[in-house]
Amino acid sequence: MAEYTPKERLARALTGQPVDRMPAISVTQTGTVDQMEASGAFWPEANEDAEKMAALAEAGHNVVGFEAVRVPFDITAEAEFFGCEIKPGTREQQPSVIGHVISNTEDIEKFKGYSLDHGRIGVVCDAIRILADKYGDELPVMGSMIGPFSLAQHLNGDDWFMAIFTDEAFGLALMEFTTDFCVAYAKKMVENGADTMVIIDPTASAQLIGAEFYEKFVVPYHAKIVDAMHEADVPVVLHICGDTTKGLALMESSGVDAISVDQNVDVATAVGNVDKAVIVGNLDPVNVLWNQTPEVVKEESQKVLDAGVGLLAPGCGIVSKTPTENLQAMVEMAKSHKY
Amino acid sequence: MSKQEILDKLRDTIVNQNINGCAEATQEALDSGLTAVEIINAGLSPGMKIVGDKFEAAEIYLPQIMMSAKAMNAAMEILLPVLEEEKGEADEGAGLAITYVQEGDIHDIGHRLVTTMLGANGFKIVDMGVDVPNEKVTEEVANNKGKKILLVGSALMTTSMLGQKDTVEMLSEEGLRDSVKIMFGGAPVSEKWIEEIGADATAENAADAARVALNLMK
Repeated sequence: MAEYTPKERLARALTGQPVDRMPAISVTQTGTVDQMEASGAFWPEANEDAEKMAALAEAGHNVVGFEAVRVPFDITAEAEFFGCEIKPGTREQQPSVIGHVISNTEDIEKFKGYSLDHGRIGVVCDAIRILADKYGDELPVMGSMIGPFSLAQHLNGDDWFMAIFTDEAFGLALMEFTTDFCVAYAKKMVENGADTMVIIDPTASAQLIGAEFYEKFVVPYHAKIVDAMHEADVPVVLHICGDTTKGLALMESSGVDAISVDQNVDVATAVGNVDKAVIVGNLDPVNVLWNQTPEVVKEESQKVLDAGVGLLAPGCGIVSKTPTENLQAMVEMAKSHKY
Repeated sequence: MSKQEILDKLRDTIVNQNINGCAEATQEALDSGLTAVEIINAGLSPGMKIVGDKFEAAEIYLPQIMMSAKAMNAAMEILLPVLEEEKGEADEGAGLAITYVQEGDIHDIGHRLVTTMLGANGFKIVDMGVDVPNEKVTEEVANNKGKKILLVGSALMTTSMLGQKDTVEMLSEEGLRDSVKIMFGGAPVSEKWIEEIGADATAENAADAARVALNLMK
């Protein structure tokens, strides 16, 4: 079979075309302390400076061996853009959203008419540009962003889960608003050179909110992002945390090309629950990738591969203290796997 | 209304997520002579138990649970002062539950539900809130040394879960490990993790957490 560049290989694997072997990638965050030390680009600076962000992303390829580069490393830039209070990250920890800015429909109006040219989302786009200029012919350049449901939760706070139950009009209005933003932001990442889009929507889980709410408040909005990306020939990977086994068919109905599942999901069951979406995952980032040896990582990888996973990857964001040799063991297992 | 009808009404306001109705029913129950303990144990808690069971059976989800918890909280606001009077200082009830969300984490849905369920099951509650550093947790335990203490920490993110290991270590270093039972919860927390870091227990969800907590404190 023909030889492919990593870029071609991933694009083909995500769109169901035959490839020579499995691409070795992580659709969730890749930054680790080892890579920071090797590249000299440390958190939290690498979250705020485009050169450093690109340098740490690049370490995922040069140090670990991932066959892609991916930014950013957190999911707070979007909420920060709208003025949510952020608890700054540290060298080992990602920043988190601690304040919320939208509590009703009138609040949404105040935020309309924004320009995408300010804030850290611009830094992400600049980092993508740097990576695309350097690697764009060879490697996939993955852009990642928070999904519209989780962004709505960041903007509205935990009351969001009740709002979708008690105030449907507000809930839908906020979903429209966050989705419009996500579409515009994703397009901007693509303009800057991203060729693969990852939507991280951790709290948009059918397990948490149930199938009915998921169908109404999540599917149509994910579909809008997917449609916009497909127009630009960019495949979309959706990551949602928790046991998504029963929600997979619904998740797929938005049109996403691949679904990343966490370690609570049985991969064989997941593969059976989707039509053609590529199942990505699902090594436990803590109990396997961080806390085990390369030998155990290989054994666990083999189980996931045997279960029929489409792309072997971490089940969630890589823990910053994860040893490089463990990630390399996973990469090696993926690379030596033929479909 | 008979006593049973009053209790059934309390239960139903919880199950039906009727926040205002639950507060009203609680006041009516008090006015008709029921004690706060009866109202909680025979009215509200059975309601939360049904809610927990329905969640486990995937009949209802987080939005409904949060509404029921809000109804429960509305009742507890009325009942807490009454409860203090009824119980007196000597009665420890099920124990003192110190609940918090690990430093670096502000996801408090699980934390709030568990806190509510523990309060409903007879624990006195010290709710330390979210993003709590281990130093503060240790300090709170030290301040309550000698009581029946249950420490209940939650973490939604893998990164903040890692801090739970330090919590246990810090309590050991301060000579406080034997003064508390420790439960940790949150999406990434597993039995294996609990064992590895030397905590006492975890639970599947808020309803389960109350059961596990009562067993642990026996």
